[in-house]
Amino acid sequence: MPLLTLIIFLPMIAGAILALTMPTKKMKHAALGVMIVDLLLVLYAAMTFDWSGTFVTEARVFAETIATTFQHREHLPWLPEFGISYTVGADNLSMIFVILTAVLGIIGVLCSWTSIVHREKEFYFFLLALQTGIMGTFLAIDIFLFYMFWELMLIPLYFMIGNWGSKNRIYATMKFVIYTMAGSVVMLVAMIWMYYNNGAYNPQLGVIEYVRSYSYEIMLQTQSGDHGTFQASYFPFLALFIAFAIKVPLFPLHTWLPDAHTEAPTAGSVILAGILLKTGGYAIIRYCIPLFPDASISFAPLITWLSVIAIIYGAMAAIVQTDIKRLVAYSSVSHMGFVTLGIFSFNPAAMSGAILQMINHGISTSGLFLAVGMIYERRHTREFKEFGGLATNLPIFAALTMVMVLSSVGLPGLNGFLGEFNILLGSMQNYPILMQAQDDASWAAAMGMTQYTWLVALGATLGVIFGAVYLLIMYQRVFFGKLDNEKNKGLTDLVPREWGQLAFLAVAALAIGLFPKPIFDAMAPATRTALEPVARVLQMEVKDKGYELAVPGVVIENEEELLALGE
Amino acid sequence: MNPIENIQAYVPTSIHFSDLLQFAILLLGGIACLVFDAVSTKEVSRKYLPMIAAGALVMTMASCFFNILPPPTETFIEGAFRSDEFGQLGALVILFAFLMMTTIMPSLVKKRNLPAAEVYSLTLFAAFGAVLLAIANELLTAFIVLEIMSLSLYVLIGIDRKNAKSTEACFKYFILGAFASAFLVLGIAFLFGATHTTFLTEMAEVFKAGGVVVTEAVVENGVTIEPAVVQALNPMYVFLGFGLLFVGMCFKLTAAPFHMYAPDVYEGGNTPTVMVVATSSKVAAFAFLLHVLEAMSHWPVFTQPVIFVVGFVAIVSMVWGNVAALVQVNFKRMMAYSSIAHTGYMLVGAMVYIALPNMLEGEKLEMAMIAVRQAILLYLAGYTVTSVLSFGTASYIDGEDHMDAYRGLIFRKPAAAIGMAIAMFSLVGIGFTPPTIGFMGKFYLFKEAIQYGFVALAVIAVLASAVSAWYYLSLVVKMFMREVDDTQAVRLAGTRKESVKLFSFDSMTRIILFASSILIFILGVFPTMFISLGESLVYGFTR
Repeated sequence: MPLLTLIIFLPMIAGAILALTMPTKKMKHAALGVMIVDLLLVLYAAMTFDWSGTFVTEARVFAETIATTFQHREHLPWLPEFGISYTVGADNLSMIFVILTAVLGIIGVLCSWTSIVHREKEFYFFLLALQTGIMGTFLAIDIFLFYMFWELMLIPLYFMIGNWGSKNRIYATMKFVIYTMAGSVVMLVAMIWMYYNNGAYNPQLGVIEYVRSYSYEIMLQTQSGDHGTFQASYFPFLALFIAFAIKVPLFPLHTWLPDAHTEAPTAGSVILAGILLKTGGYAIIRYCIPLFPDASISFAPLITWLSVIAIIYGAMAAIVQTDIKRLVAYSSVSHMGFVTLGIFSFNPAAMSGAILQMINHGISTSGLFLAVGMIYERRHTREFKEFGGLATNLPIFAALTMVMVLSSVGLPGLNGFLGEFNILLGSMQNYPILMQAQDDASWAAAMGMTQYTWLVALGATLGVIFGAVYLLIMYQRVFFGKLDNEKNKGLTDLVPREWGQLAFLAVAALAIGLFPKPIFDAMAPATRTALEPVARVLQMEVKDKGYELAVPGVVIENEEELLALGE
Repeated sequence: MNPIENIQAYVPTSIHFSDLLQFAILLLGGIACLVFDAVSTKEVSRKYLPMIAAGALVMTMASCFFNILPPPTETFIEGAFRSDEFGQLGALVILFAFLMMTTIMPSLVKKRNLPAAEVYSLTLFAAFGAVLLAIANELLTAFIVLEIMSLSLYVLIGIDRKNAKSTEACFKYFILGAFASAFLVLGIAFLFGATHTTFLTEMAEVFKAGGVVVTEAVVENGVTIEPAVVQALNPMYVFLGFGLLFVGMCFKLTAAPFHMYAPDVYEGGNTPTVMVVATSSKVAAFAFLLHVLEAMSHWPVFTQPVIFVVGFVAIVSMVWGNVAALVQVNFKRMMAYSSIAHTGYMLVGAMVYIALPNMLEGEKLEMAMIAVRQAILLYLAGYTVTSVLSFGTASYIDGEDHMDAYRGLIFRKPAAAIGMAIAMFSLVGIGFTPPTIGFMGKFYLFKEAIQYGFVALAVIAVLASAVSAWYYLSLVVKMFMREVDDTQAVRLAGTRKESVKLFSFDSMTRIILFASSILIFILGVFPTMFISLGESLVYGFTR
């Protein structure tokens, strides 16, 4: 059974059929049904999935037999003369995000239940089509196919923000589209470039053997001709990374996000924050680092500093917002800064922290956006000054939002803490950068990575504290104090559909916070696969807690030993 | 021996006009239109002339599937024509737009009281000129068929004499077009002066040899005497000739900086004719330009400067076309600038085409040139299908061409709005709409550019196309995200069903528009279908 194909295309195709046949009033029920079926398929795929990370199978890609770790793999030649195929498959990394996508898809339908009142059919069609684009992005393992799905995500969101957004929606949607496009068109050039320069050095013949293929599995084995030069690896790395960094979004490329998040309808914000930003982080882990380990290490200091700036800047910008939704949007910039920081620490702990941080952000920020949407639906405003004392007449709402806020702040015991803690821990011991920093002439030294590693951790920690400041201030202003605004007195508390969504996310947050082991176990293989190419460049081996030099018997526990060994 | 005498001694012996029978249908159809109109009343001819015209076009299109033309290795009609990918498949693309034009025209003829016989016969003559230009192998023949096409189109642009804008457009188009034709002829003259031939196939031999070969190799007493080069090529003549010819073709292609007429002509001319000017005449002109470039690119001296010139024109067209389109408020003016930008993208392909002979040899070179030709033709086909959809839809939007006429179109004419949106998405192409022909066309083109090392140019091209998203998507914003007051009221009252006319097209046009929107996706997902169709049309289905 083409399980993954079904998971990918079911939402869009079913959505198109339903939009043409269903009566308008029934559309949301039908959309919910499709999402649930999709989730069931995903759960079935997850259940039949080998999470241990030892899964290796032989697969044929364009007359070549290769070993691959992708499961539920499907392969069809599409444009064989250009090495383009329809290949989908899942590994631990993509499976985690696919589950997240399927869950948030249902929440996306539920939170639009009463807030979308006009042009419902189109709305739910676009919501379902968006689901297809995202699933495809996570599951494609042919980079051309990946690019197609990556672009396919844009159109539904363009319509969703533009049609059902709030006042400034058209400005926001155009900015979002143009921003994302500008990054991704250059990415396409880089991908075509990679296709023509995708080769591995053959020591026996003394030549580079080129393999013309867009298959990620093949590229992984040929390392895309990564020879540490501008042409061979810096250009494609940068082109890919900028496209992904726009989606994440990393600090100087983030300006589309507050607009898009604020203007989007609640479902749009939830999907945007919950999943779409993760496609950026996912793609960096999946494509940038394994395909261009050299370039990744070279640019890591710069990206590390940008991440720290993003963490602090996002938090400080959030403090001064007067619009609740905008505040949550800026908090996304701050939280996603942790993700890039963790990824580019090249440390197993930090990498798994980054993946967990993405899941956490998907849970807690989606929850916050849901909460904002629920307030907005009742009062049609999101300004702080309109609220105060809501805890008196909306107790359930206040309690559930509190869990989301605390999860986002990073309270130990909830999910947010684990991700950020691991990232901070890992970024302090980022060996590869330190190793490179030994060479004083290197860029890493120029970027201050030798003396100022502590500053990175300090900056990130400051971001955590700021996070507590703005989120708690927001909570205090909205829920505590006196219920003095007349308009707020008649508000009704949440109906089961609404608190169901929030409660589900709260339970998830609590579960991850209290029992993180299964998730860390599921992530470990993904972390290892992502970091192995980096370790290979540094002639080390990845272990669960750190690196190990490829010399048998010597385990490096801390950095002094490593430095001593380097000398 | 005097080379000029050699040329004059050349006398055609027998000409097999039957080779061109399939295209003669168009000519005969045009004459039939005139004759029919002379013997019938106005109403009758208005009713039946479109049928004759469409019938002729459909017959010609059908005949394209029968491999009538000789393969690219042979010339025919005494060397005047040579058919490659652009011969049959190009004809299909060209005639597709003309077919669309004949289906939209009847309502326009009725509405504006236009002379039916002239409209349909000139349409067919223009089609005849266009398909022949795409296969012309002799420069003067090319000039004549180009003029057959252009003159017909000049008249068609201005056929609505009572409309001042239309007349203005006609004059601008005619005078500037005639001016450009003069450049073209002068360029041809210089090329003839340099190479002593007007046949592109022979010209290619001259350029390969680096000079005019007068004597043939002879064997005397067992010793082969090599052909002697009596006159080396005069670079000034060649460059002057090519430059003038290129200017003339740039005019037809609406490449910047020779594009000045386009916005006015597009705005003033009637929509169906503008559609053909934007698509068919561009396909034909591109085919001719590529054939000229193919002949000349074998001369090493030629490559570098011409790459520079063509690359420059390509960049200026892409950048200026897209930037100027940003500020337009008239749909057709916007499409004019967009068409300039699309020419720029295709000139990137043309530039790669020139560069190839310096990089590859033998069979590899041949394959690479075919690949680039196919990429450009795929792009042209995509652009044609997309333009047919957008202009075809536009001709049914009430209230002039101002962009505001598109506000809230989804509530008034959902089918038209969706069709237009598909066209706009396809025109954006790269970066936004993966499974459309606009995407695949650009992918094929830029792939070739990147493969042969023009990465920077490809980056400029994709960034320019990212800019273009702004104005294409602005139109979509107008159609889908803004509301017109009265329709909004109607919608809120819940009587949307009655007030909406789902389809307001004439049936034939409707079918073609529907087919175009489907084709955009089919070609987008399976571009290889189109490529292999081209191969079978050129080399036979049984290969």
